[in-house]
Amino acid sequence: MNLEFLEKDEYLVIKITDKLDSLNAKEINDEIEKRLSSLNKDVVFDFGNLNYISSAGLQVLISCAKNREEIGKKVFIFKPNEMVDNIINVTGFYSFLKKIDKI
Amino acid sequence: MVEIDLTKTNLKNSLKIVEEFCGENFKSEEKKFKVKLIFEEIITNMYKHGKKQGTTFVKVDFQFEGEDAVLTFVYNGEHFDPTSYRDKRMDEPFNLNKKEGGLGLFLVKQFSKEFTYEREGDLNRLNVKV
Repeated sequence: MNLEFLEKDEYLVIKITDKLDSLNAKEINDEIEKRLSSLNKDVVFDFGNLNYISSAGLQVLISCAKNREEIGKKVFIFKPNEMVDNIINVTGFYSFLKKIDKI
Repeated sequence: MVEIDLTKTNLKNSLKIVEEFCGENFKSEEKKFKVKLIFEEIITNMYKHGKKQGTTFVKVDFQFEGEDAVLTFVYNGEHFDPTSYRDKRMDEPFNLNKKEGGLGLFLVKQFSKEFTYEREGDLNRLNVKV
């Protein structure tokens, strides 16, 4: 699967590569939920190698943000490419996701 | 023109059609992204809601108008004009407490230059210029 977790002291990095779409969103979402179930940290999505996202992929971000909000934690986006950034922006998701420059 | 039987072809194989078309026809990553996105959003909506509306097949055609790609979807099923459908949830700024939905069509409208619908007898025709 095009999904990797990297746990740091203060946050969990979730690296998704290639694409996040209707074909893999559910599987990725399930893996993320499992990983977050006992984790009390912020989350950083590393999109440095993500080439494509659709509305199914955006639902993964919503689900993760809701999960973290329940425990007072935040979700960050790192290095989205221009189109992924554009999609997150036009949908208004940057109202609850924050971009960061380095991890 | 490619015909997809929604009752027999799975989503993965349907999405392969646009992957191949984009790979063969576009150098621009942005154009490739937009065409794939619009195709995926429209086709997944057909898989999700088609049964309810009696949609069992869709014929997809790709044409060019200069630099633009024009995607045409002709499909059976009830009259439903997605170009005039507006999910009220998308009118307000997004917040996490809002019920999800309507994102796919919202993206189609945002990333297309033209998005039109016609009813032709028993069929529906969508044209999307990207």
